[in-house]
Amino acid sequence: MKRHRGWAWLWMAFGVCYFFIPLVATFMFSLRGKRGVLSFAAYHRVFADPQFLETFTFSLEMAVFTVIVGLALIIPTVIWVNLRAPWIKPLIEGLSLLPFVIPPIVLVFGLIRLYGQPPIQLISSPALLVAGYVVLAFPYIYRAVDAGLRAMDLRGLTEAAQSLGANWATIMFKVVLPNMRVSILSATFLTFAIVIGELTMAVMLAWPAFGPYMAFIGRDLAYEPAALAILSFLLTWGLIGLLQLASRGIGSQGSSVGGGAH
Amino acid sequence: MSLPASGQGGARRARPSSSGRRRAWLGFVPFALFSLAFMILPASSIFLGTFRNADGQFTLMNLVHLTRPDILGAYKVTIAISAVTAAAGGLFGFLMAYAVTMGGLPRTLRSGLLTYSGVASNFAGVPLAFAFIATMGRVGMVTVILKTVFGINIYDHGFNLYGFWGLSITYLYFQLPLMVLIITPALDGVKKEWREAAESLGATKMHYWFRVALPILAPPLLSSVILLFGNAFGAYATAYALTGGFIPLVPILIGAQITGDVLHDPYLGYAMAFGMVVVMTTCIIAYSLLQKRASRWLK
Amino acid sequence: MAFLELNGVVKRFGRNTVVDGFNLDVKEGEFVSFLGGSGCGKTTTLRMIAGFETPSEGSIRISGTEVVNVSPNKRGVGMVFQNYALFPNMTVRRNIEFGLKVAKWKSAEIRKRVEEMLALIHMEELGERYPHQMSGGQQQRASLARALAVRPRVLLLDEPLSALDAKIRAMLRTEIRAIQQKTGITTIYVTHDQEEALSLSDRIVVMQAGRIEQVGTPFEIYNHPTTAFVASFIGNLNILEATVVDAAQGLLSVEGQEVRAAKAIAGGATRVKLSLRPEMLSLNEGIPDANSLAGTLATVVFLGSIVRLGIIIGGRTLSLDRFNTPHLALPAIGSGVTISFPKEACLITDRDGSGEGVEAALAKAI
Repeated sequence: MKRHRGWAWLWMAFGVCYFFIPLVATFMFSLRGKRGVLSFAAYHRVFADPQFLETFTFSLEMAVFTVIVGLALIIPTVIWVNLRAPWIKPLIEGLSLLPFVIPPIVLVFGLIRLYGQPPIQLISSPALLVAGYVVLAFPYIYRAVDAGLRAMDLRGLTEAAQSLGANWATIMFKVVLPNMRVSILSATFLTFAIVIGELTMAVMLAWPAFGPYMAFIGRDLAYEPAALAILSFLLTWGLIGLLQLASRGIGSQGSSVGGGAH
Repeated sequence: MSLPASGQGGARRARPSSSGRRRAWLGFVPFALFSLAFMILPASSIFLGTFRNADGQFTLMNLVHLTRPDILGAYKVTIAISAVTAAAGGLFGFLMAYAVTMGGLPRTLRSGLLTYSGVASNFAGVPLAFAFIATMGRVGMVTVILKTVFGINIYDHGFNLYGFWGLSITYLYFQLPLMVLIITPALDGVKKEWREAAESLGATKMHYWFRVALPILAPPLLSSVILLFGNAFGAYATAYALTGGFIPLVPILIGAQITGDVLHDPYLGYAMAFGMVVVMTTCIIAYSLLQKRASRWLK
Repeated sequence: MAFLELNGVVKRFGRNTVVDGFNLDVKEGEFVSFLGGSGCGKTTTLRMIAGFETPSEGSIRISGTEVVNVSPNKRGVGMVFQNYALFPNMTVRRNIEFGLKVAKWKSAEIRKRVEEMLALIHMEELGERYPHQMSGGQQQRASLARALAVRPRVLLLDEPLSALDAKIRAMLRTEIRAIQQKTGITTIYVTHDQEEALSLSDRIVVMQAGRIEQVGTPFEIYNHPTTAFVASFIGNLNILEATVVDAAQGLLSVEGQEVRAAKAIAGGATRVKLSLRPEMLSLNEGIPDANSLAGTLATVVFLGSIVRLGIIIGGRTLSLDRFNTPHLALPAIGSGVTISFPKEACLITDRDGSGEGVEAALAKAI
């Protein structure tokens, strides 16, 4: 059976070129930190900058909080809805479309308007930023958790456990959550990827996060931004790589689609 | 949190009593409160702001002001860049996804492409802008190579990374992988038996593509392109990092409004945000309707 | 010259030989089944006839012309798939029209032909339905009509009924055969279900591990299996270990009791396998000149039209089938019973079932 694979190889080649040329160019560019010689000087300067560590740590902390709040909020809700109130499912799925319909720039606008003045003034609290990030990450966390629950046949397992006499605490902690390890890891890595480089909300709410730091660096310096871009890419690659490793148990990988553009 | 027993269990579940239903909503309350506080209310406040003026009266003037030439121009540019990158990302993303699914390339290439697409669709915003500056900026590597090796100065020919086409090429870096990720499941759903059945009935490759495969793939292709459109329309970080806020895009204008720079009329900002949400909602509705059709055929 | 000839067809995937030397001549209008378990190569052979796989060696001729190098869309071979493969974006009518449009028939002729086909499959009212609006059985009939519309020279069916439930399967089976006989089209039918193969085919090709075990009519395959595999694959079989007491006289010892076969035992082995079909066994009837074995009634299983008795003889359990009648009187479980069977019912193969030294006895027609 003759298959004309020529076209397939052509498109792949095109794609590979388009993907790799900017990476290679950026890397080469980042090595020109020292005049006349290829060196990692730009990288050294980046790491030596105290603001790099400060902002990166800040974003890391925000990411951790987002993961904790997000998981603590979404996991019990999704389990509850799947077991006790399946008719709410369409509502949650609709809600998970909201962060697309209300892009971060609009969301932060609304948050500022609502919470930027009395009676509820949250604007100077990092809690508002975390809340915004939870909204951003929510569709991805939801999809990962829902996929995990479906893969483990939540209803089947809980009914089996009940028929064997287990109480709800046992069921949650010994049956359901252990089987969700993959979902939780996926959700965590993806949330990290989204939060660490996030710019829009951090800048508008005036927080010293990693995204704004990178943007400000880009204003004045030439080679350090390229170095930052490479570092950022490696970090994203690492996180998504971990996510892929973790989610080899679960079927579809749709959850790795990201929202970094916003 | 104590969950009551899951009731009757098994295949047939009697509808819970009305008090049972009410209690079932309880578990949803925390999340509902969160959604209300940080999604629905902020959005509503934007809508309310759209229809108010400084004196607190109801008005449609803000929407009228959207037709100001500069703002209308921003909408036009944003729509244009979203359409261009959605079409290009859609086309090339489809071709690459086709190559690794129906095109029969080795399995390793497929997982490589999917993994990389997962990374690239997240690699956007500031780092992506920097990468393209380093590539195609005035002293970017590719620009320099083209100048020194091939003698072509793209900037002399009118190319500008910080203009429409430069931004489009940059956007493509996350649009293309997004398309690959969304369309691959649909392409997997194209059964090889359809092609074989068509062949056994005498069809050539063209026959098969135009009468069977493309009609079947049309809904998911279209819905994915629409999704890409919305994705580009709402994008802020990349444009901001690349152009410093100088290119007139709707998200950029909204951002400028928030930081109080250019416009002195906050209500106009709300109207712009409202306009953006209208566009995004249209996208998501079109996407959902097409997806329903798609999933039926490609299960 | 046969209508469809396969000569020395071999198919290798890497180091795996999936079809190993397949030779078959099919007459025009014949209904031939390829029967075997999964992995036996039957589907691969079918796909080679269709053109979706290319043989590593060998030739395939349709009506005298070599087709191995002809692409599938030019072979005039129609195919019906296990999962129907109807084009989901088209109605039944458009599906059936597809091949005709490709062949550029005139619209009036197309319309007439489609009506003919819809009538053939008894779905005249369902022409405007989409595949997802139809049951599995309807989809498969539509798939058949689509394949037949273009008047292929050979019709290939790849386990077409496996995805359907039992009742529909039985119904559709007879319909397919009726249509095939009406149109007179040469048909190859791949299945793992022996009941299908036995009830539909003019001839059956039993396959195992890429090779043909036996080719014959259903009667031949069932009653005169030439290899141990065929004997045990088709129908139910009781298999007992036996020791040869006197090969020339066909005398065996089974669980300490004497059994006489109808012919002398070839092969010279001392330990052999004695196979008996459950329907050849009688319960507690003293039949003159027949073999009898004494045992204990262990189980009675009701299978609908048949009652299957499990009888322990020595260390083995034998199945004995009786028709279910309203006045069925069976002995109590645990009581001693006698099984009788004629000498001709003995199928003897040697111990490793390799097919060497096989003696297939004549069996009475049921």
